Amino acid sequence: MTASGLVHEALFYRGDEEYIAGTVGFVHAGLEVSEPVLVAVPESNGALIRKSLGADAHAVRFLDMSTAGRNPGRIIPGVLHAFVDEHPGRRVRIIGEPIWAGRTAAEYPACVQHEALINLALGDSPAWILCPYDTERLDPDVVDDAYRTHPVLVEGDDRWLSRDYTGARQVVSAYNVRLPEPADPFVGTAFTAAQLGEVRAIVTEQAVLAGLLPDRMDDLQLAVNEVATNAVTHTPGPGTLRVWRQPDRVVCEITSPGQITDALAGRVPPPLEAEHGRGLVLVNQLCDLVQTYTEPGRTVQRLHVRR
Amino acid sequence: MAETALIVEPLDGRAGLRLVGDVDLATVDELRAALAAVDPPRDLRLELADLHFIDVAGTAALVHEAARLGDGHAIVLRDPPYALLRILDVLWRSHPGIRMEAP
Repeated sequence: MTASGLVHEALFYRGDEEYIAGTVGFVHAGLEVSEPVLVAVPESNGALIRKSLGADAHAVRFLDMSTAGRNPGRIIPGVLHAFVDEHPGRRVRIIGEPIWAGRTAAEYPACVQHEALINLALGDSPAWILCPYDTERLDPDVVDDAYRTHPVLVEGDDRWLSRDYTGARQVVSAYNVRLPEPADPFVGTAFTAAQLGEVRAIVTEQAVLAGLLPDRMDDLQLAVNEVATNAVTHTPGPGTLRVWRQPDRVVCEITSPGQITDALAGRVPPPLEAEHGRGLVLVNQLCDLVQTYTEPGRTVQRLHVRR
Repeated sequence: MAETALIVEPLDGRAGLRLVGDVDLATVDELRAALAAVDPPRDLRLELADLHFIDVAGTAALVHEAARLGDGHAIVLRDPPYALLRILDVLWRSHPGIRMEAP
């Protein structure tokens, strides 16, 4: 084991006993050498680990990944990088479970892109990140993707290098998929830099009709404004807004005449003194899901905020 | 629909600025110009009850201004909108140099 740099492993498990066996020893080993430990997994799995640790649980940071990581795009900046930054110069251990049986088809591409980008965004970080995958309840295709996004694989007592490990940009590109046309009626407008107020007004009106709580309405407005601003800043514009409501959420889609070429856009906060680069980090934090499709001359981003 | 507008006024009777309207791409340069006219070292009080919206670039302008004010000095916010507090909390968790006015 090298003293510095990222270790990123997938742990395959079936059932609670294997889950505990694969995770609790990892936690204990970290505590024994005073490495900070974060467990960011769905709540019920977190409860398994917590119970098994007993009194040692108090030394571990627990996050419910189903809320902290509801939008996969915010896991790197908001969960992983944030924990590494809390302990500068120290090795840390993280159990991160971003893909579980309840993830929707709309969320899945962003989940795989997230796993791939860990290797790029945290490649130099002194972190050992263990990602559990429930092979009993997840599709075989999901497990195949785990082989592509994790250099090292773990199952029971076996640990081996993944022969299918693939470079992050290639995986991100493979899951850069066109978004299906909405089935719901939508409203919208084209906009330039002078018309961001109208963009915000349309979004607010739809959010009110959808019954979003005030803070979530404001979050949606902030997020849409940032993406719309990007659409008319980095490109000649104009941008296009479409908004539609579903029973549990509002979806705002912004189309811009430019391509996102930075694979890490929205994943890594820029240095404190930087003038730009923060808008998408904010968007990822505020939204429950961000879907992105980008190609030369066009980018489509869909921002979901749930009721 | 009227275009976004921002008015920046000096405060009556005390040093500082009142922001009225929205800070977004169309108006952020007006904010930057008003901030650039402030002479450090000093505190800068901002009355924000009539600021309806501010974006990341506008918040960044405030953060950079706060750093310019000098050691021991700060931007003091009165009635900030939710948008400003949310952006600061997510992007500038340790926001040195910006504080709320004491009630």
